[in-house]
Amino acid sequence: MNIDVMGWISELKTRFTEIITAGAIIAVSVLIAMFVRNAMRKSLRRRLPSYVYKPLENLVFYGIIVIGVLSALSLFGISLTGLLVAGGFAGIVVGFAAQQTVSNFISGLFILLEQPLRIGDPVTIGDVSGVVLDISILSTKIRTWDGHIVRIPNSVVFNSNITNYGRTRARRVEITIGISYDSDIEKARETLLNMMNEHPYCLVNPGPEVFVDNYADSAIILKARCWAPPPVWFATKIDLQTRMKKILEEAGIKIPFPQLDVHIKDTADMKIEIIRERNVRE
Amino acid sequence: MRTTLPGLLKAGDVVEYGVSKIVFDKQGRLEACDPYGCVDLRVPIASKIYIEPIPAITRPQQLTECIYVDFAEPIAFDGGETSLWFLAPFELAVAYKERTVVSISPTKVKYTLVGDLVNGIVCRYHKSIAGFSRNDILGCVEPGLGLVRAIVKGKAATIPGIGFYVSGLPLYVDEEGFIYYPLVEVEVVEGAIQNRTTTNPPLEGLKVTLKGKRFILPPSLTQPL
Repeated sequence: MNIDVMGWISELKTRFTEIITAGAIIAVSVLIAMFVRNAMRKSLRRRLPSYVYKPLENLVFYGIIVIGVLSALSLFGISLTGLLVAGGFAGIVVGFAAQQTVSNFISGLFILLEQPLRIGDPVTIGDVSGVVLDISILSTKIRTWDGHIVRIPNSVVFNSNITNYGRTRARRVEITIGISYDSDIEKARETLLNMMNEHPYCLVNPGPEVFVDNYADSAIILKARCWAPPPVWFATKIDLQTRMKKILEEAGIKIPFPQLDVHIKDTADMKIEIIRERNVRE
Repeated sequence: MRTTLPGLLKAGDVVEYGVSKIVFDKQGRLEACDPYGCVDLRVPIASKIYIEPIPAITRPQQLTECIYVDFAEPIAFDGGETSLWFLAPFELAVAYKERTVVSISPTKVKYTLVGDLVNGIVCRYHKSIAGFSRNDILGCVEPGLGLVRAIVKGKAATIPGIGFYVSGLPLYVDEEGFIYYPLVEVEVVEGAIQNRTTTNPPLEGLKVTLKGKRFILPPSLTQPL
């Protein structure tokens, strides 16, 4: 292959100033973006919650860098329109190479705009549950309930079912308990309702409820429900669950274990012989 | 049981107020308890410990910035303008060197949802009788309950209760030791009530309890009718 090295070097010489200028423009735009991001963080942190200012920061930061890169490219006669037009072939080539990255980037923008989740929200994304730590332009970081940090690409986040537990004002606590068949259902209901009415986090409205859910093999299954503010939902659930047994026992309600009553219906005579026990020493 | 608050706490004092208890022993141990827990602190014996009423939104933990008072009998409001009086809970701030070191609740805490599950708001809950004058409810004041005056305007409606923001607001005290929330302005519109808490005292001649603190003017709370 015949390479015109001299021609290439002379081209580089003539373009040297432009290359340096383009590099400088990109570097300056990165510096400006970082400066603006820090300034925004300082001024907005105290006024706005993190789920508002962090996406704003990201949008402004990446926006300035994109503008810088486009300005740098314009020095070489490449305009945004030109890029879009010329993007046909190059787009296909680059597209295959950077398909996932571009997909994550676009999804990230949509997530920042639509805000199906915010930093600090308790969420389940697909099969990952935890608290949202950060939403960046390419990925979302979740701290799982057991403390692991999981990075999920934004395209996955965008295409997954997102359950956001923090968006609602109240979340239902549901506890199931079995009481014995000889226990007083009404008394058990009243006891459980009183327990929830006394609990500070069980909301007055919507009010708590207790009902018979099922007549199971060994127990009457009661379901107790109350609504609690999402930040204290788990605390309320474990507290009610822990107290429930003691309170029911104090009210004389039995919580049975699985049991089986065997009724022998065979009426055939059985011969029973009682043998006097012998003393082993004899 | 006492209904007036002691302002200053000296070493050796034991204060039982509602369901709360504060002990400041002669060794400098300060213990403040309510049904949701106790906090133990050690402070210099010669120090001045103040007890001040604050809006009831911090115990057992701060989940809200508002209080919803459910009226024992809903108020039939026939339009125009009227003054309503009712009771709302307050908490106690134990302050040392101008700084609140612990807050406790002299009343039992409950919360309620005002509005729907998505757009509503969770507020501290209290059930109170409501009347058209201060004297109507004065006999019902218990430890931990302050008086609230609401100026109601607008269309005729049956008002089941009033929710109002209290975060960052001053409380007032009169010469008899009764605690007051600031004046609440209530406007009844079509299908809803808009409540705005002011920083103005509900009566003339009241003293503000938290001197020198910065007050934040809260937004208005809209509740469905």
